[in-house]
Amino acid sequence: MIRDKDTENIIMDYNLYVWENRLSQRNIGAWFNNFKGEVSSADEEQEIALKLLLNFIYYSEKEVKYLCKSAYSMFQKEIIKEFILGGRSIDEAKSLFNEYLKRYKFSCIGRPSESGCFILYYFRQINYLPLSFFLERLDDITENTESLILVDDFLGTGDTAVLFWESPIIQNIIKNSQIKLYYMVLSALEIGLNKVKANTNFKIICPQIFGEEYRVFSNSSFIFPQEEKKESAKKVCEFYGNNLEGGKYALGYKGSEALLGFHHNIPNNTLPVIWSDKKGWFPLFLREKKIYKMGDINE
Amino acid sequence: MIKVDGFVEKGKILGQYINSTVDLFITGISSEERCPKGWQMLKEEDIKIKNKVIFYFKEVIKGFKQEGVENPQEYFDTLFDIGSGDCKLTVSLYDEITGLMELEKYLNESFSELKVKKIVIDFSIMIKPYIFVLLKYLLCERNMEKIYLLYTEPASYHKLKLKKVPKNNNQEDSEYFTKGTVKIGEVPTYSGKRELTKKSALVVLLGFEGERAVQVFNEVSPDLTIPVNGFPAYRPEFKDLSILSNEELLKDSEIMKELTYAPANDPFETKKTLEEIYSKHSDNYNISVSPLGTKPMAIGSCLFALEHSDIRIIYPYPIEYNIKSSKGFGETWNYIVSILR
Amino acid sequence: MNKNQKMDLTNPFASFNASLMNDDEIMKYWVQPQILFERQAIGIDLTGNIPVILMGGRGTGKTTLLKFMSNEVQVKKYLSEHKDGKNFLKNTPYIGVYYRFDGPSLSSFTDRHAEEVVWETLFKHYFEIVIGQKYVTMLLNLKKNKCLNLNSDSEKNIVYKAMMFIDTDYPLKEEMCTLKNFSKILQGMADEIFQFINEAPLQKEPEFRSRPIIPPGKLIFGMAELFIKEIPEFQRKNIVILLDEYENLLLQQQKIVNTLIKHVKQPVTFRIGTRINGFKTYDTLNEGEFLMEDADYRKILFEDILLSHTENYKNLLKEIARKRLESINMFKENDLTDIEEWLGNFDPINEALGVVSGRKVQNHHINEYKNQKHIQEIIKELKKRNISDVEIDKLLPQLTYPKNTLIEMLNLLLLRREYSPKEIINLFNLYIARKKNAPEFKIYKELYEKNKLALLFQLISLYRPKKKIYAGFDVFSMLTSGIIRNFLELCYQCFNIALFYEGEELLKKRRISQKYQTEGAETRSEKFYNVIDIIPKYGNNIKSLVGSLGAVFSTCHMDSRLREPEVTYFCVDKSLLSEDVKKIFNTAIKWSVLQQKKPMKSKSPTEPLLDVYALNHILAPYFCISYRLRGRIPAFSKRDIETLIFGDYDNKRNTIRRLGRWLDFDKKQLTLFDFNGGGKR
Repeated sequence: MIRDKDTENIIMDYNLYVWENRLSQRNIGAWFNNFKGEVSSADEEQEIALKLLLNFIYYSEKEVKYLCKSAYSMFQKEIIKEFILGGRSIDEAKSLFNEYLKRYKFSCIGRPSESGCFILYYFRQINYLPLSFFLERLDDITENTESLILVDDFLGTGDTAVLFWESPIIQNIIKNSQIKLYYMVLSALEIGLNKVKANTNFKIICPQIFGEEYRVFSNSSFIFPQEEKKESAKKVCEFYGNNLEGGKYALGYKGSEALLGFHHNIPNNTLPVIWSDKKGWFPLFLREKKIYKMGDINE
Repeated sequence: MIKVDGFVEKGKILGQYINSTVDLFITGISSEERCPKGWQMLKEEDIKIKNKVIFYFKEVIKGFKQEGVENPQEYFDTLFDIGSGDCKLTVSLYDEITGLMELEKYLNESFSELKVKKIVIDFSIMIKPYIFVLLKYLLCERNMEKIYLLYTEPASYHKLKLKKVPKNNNQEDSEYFTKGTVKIGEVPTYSGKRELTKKSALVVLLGFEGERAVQVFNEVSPDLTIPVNGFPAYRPEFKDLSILSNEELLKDSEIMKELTYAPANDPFETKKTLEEIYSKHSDNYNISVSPLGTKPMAIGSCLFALEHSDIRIIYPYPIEYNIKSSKGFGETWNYIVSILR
Repeated sequence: MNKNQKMDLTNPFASFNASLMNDDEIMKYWVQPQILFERQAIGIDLTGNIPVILMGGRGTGKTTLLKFMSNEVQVKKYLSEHKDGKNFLKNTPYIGVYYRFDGPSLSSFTDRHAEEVVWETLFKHYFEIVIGQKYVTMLLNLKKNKCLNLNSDSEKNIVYKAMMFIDTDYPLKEEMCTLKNFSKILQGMADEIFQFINEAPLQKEPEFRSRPIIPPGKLIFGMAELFIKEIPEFQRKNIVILLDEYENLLLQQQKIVNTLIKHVKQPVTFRIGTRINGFKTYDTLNEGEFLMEDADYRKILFEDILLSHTENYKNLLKEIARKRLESINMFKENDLTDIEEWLGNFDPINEALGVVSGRKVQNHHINEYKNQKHIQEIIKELKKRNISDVEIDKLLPQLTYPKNTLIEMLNLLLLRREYSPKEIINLFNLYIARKKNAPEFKIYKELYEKNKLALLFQLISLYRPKKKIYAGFDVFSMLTSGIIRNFLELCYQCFNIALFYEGEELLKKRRISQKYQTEGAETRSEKFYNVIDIIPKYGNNIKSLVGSLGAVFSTCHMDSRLREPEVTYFCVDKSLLSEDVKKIFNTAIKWSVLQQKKPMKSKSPTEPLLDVYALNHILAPYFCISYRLRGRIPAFSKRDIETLIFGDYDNKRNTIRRLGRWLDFDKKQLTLFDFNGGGKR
């Protein structure tokens, strides 16, 4: 597919200013060439690929750090608001917050080597929080702990959060204490947020929410607003996605249809045509796999 | 010396903070759909508004007449339930000082003491220089202790000058927020204070009109430039669109490396970002701020400048504002501002 | 291929704003423009007594030069080359103090509520404070770096006497007479001015109450004289006040500073950096008095000087680029610091061959390329003369020359200019045979050399959508129009593109391809055009004018008879233009969108000289026109100019057609696409 100069320039600008110069024309060219015309013509498929490329939301390292800051700020406001509504002035409320903070603990959702816990490092650094505010293990909660804030980078379907809520360790905490549980996530799909709200009592803090219109093939998709084009794009992505990662992941994990990624990784909720490297597919942004045990390459 | 603080609330919540009465409501007229939203929200919360001051901008009236509306004043009179105790100020959009003088006259006649009154300003459609001088006057000259600000987001902007799609040669004129430049000037009363031995730094709150940022940069020729991108933005993709719109400024690596962020809808977080910049650089630099981003971010820079009198606010005054730059309406935000002296 | 490996190769031209450079960077990237410093022969001494006005567009290097001359940079430079600063003052003929006029702040020295005389007094007072403060900073800098041995007694003495310039009623106590305290006093006075400026808009009748007010010249000249008297190291030195962005001053403010320049007192002198037409007035505050060139100041026009010394200018650009390239280790380690090597130089002959066939034609088989478009044009011309097909087949091999397409184009041009085929063949043969003594050889050679580039443009217009290549070091130098920053931006763009497409492979290739260079040039050109409308007040008008001119010039480049080759400038009698149009022109020149050249004689000796204006060559790629100053449109009338600026679409289009002699072309519909920018792809 021949792209005009304007489009090439736009891609170049995106690369330089948004994607942290991660890509080169060769990477991008190789990615486009993945779309060989197995569903519709190669040109049509590559038009779709171009649309995906230009609507991909990428969070740079700086932006990820700032989201950590933003999330913490939101959390702070939640607490302060309660004090203000209770009649305190802003200054008083802020002082109270700093006092209460000593009784809050932060941890991550998921396992220590997963991206949620990776974020915790940024989160601690950017908000100048001492190590003592962070739990090494959830078991380390004491009776002085008033709130537990679980930090994560992305909420897609909500499965992880719900599973975590239902896990014995959290259920134990709920049963045996009055600890307030917060789920602080840097960004989330609205559909997943709703699931977490419906199935847990986590108080959710999220600075960046992606509504339905950000799911690539949803009814209100702003990426493919026209029904016909959306259907044909969906067919293409589903075909290749299925080939690459299999049914559950064909359009992102459980059909999330997300189109976003972070400096540190791409969530599997994002269309696999963006991140998969299986069967000779050249990824745009590679998703680093989680290996749960030797010989295991899974989600 | 004042200290400014506050917090943000979304939606119909103001009633919880101001009980049931507002002494004075201030806003302006516009053809944008979000123009009356703040006022309507207060009504929906059953908040009693004792007095209103509405800026009847001449250019907006003219625009309506040009579109065949015979009596636009009447339309707005009805929209805002203008009564005998209310004040309509017919002023120019481009002359914030005269607008302020007119407001001052009204306030002097109507209020003996303004300090403890509950004033709500809906600044959704007001241009930035107006907001700046109004707040300076109310918070510093009239020593108000608290003020409530409302802001309604637009649902979308009319065909943003997006870099996301390849340009075509037939782009319509409707794709602009402002046209031309009269001058790059200091907002009146925000000339700041310069230590003659220091270098100069320019903080630019990035908007979608990158050429204005370049203009300001060229005019100020600072020794240090710090761009602040609105992030998180109203919509996730806006963070990238504003970066790309400002490519001409950001292509200099010395500028790009200083890029930092402030939430597009939160003046207090914007103020925090500016505070961080200030604490890092004010020892060596005289700092100027150019609020080209969202209005909430501009409010943040205003509050920051009120607290730090050495800060200068620079604004590229356009020849023309597009009074129809947005359509629809989104969330309404409440900003509760407190002043400590 | 690496999957998602972030590229470590930085664009060496990614930073180019002089204002953002600190003193170390100014020093690091400094290249002495010898052609500016060696002007003593014509009485312009950059470090001498007579004030000098440095005029040039944005990016010509004024700020870099002025900052380089400042005491801060000069001291740093000296310390980098010597053990200590002990002998700095001995070895320098001048001490520079740099100050930049800040536009937004200057425009605050005016408000409806206070009278103009108040603001005038305030500005004079402010300017004294500013320069006084600069002097103090300078002394502190010299002292800190041990360039000046100023003991506390000397310091007290100087400060005490300086204070007397300000306030004779309340002399400072001796123990308070330190430079730091003096600086605080000056700052305090400045703060009072800022306070007034901040409060004035909200007051009905603002009054500046602070006293004393420093009379003009008291500190600026007084302190300088004091230094010479009291500090032995300062004897026989000039104190050079380096004032940058003079164009930011309001009219009255310029009169104030003009007065100081006019009545400058030794050891002080001024160096004023300003845009062309940046002087709103040369008047002083005294009626009938004004600054006179040669008597009161000398002037350096950056672009003119740089452009008139082509080789020196190119060397300057090379050196500037070399320092940038060296700052990136990968380039330095691999000895890739020669920009001329990166950009190369390209021959129009090869470019022409590339347009036609993409490769050199090996054999002269007429049938092989008879179908080529430019050959078809030759055939068309021959047919117009009612020459038979058989005869044409015989003539063609004699009129064509596959090794050099531009020769073929010249022959086509001569046919269009009504030369007979026989004449052309004769000229051509003698040229090819290199019969240098033959007058026909000289005629043909001159025609060829003069029209080579113009013929290339014509050729490209026949082979659309092929585009003109804008590549090569020499071409880039010409595109800059004497503005160094244009060169840096061109390099930035093409390196950007090349790095994106080639990554680290680029280091092996050691050359940026023509394609990427052209794309970089086009990008830079388009950006330059796009931001014209942000020029305050007249931006839209200037853009309208430039767009129209570009369309006219672009059209003229396609003139089948090449009546004027490579049209890139025009003439007009400026005295006939309206005030508004003059302002538009002046603003366009100030912003280097138009460049004014030496006036030209009109056709009649009794008519006044015509003013000559060229488009900034950086616009050449955007409009697909030449980057040289060769051909011009005959004098524009006042009406033409006004139509091109203010006219509606139809009037503009008609004027452009007429000026571009569109009707002489083959029938072709002028589309909006063509109208809005001849070069728009």
